[in-house]
Amino acid sequence: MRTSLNDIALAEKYLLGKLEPEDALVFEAKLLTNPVLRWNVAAQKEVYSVLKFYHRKKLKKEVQAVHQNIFNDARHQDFKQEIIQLFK
Amino acid sequence: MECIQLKEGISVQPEAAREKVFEALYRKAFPGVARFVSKMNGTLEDSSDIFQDALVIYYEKTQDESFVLETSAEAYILGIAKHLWIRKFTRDRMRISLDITEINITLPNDYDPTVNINRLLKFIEQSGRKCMELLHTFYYEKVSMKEIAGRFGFVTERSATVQKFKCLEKVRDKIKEKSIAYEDFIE
Repeated sequence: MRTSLNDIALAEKYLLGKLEPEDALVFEAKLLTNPVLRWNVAAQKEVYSVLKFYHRKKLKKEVQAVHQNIFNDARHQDFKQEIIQLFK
Repeated sequence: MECIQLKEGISVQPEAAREKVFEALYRKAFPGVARFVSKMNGTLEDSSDIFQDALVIYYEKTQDESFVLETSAEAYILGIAKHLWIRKFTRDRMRISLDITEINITLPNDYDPTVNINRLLKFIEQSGRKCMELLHTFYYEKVSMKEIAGRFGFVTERSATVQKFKCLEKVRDKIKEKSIAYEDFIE
């Protein structure tokens, strides 16, 4: 793998807490002295954060699809009526 | 127990298995949540919104290996729904009784994305969908590298791994690009 990708692999281990303590210290020292690396790692941290919400959005869509299914499918008529009755 | 079934299902066939689980939970847990919302003078739409979020939160919790379900899934989901309701309508807090199990339920404090995350997400969904799909499969679907390679058309597991890091780099650089544009990168 090219160097920049190895850096990303290393930063991932650091961010996920998978580096040995001494390796983490070395990495943190590099972060202190290297502003570009600092910026890269901060942005990589955001990637995981964005992914988490991407995942949530996906789950929500799946749940909504199930909702649509249940409320539009004739097989679930009784269930639908039972729910609607609660709001009458 | 339900959550164990769920986990087993997930490792085999992610989305299709999830759909079945969600449908079963809908039938089992939605009536209770709808009854609760109706008692709170909420609408059918309120109950659907709350229930959908509760289901997502429940599902996320069951994915955490340390999670132990000490009651039925429907009781737990109702508990989450009550907390969601209290968070939305603080004034109703005194009207809602919570049992011991329900009191101990915690909601993720970052459930709703920040404005900044939302903006980044929209931007990346438009410009880096393929990479997001790959990364999502890698981190959230819990499938093997071999399976990922097959699904995304890589010849070897090794090339799938390399692609994963390339995608991380690509999305990272998009975030950097966006943060320069907004000048809001605080670190």
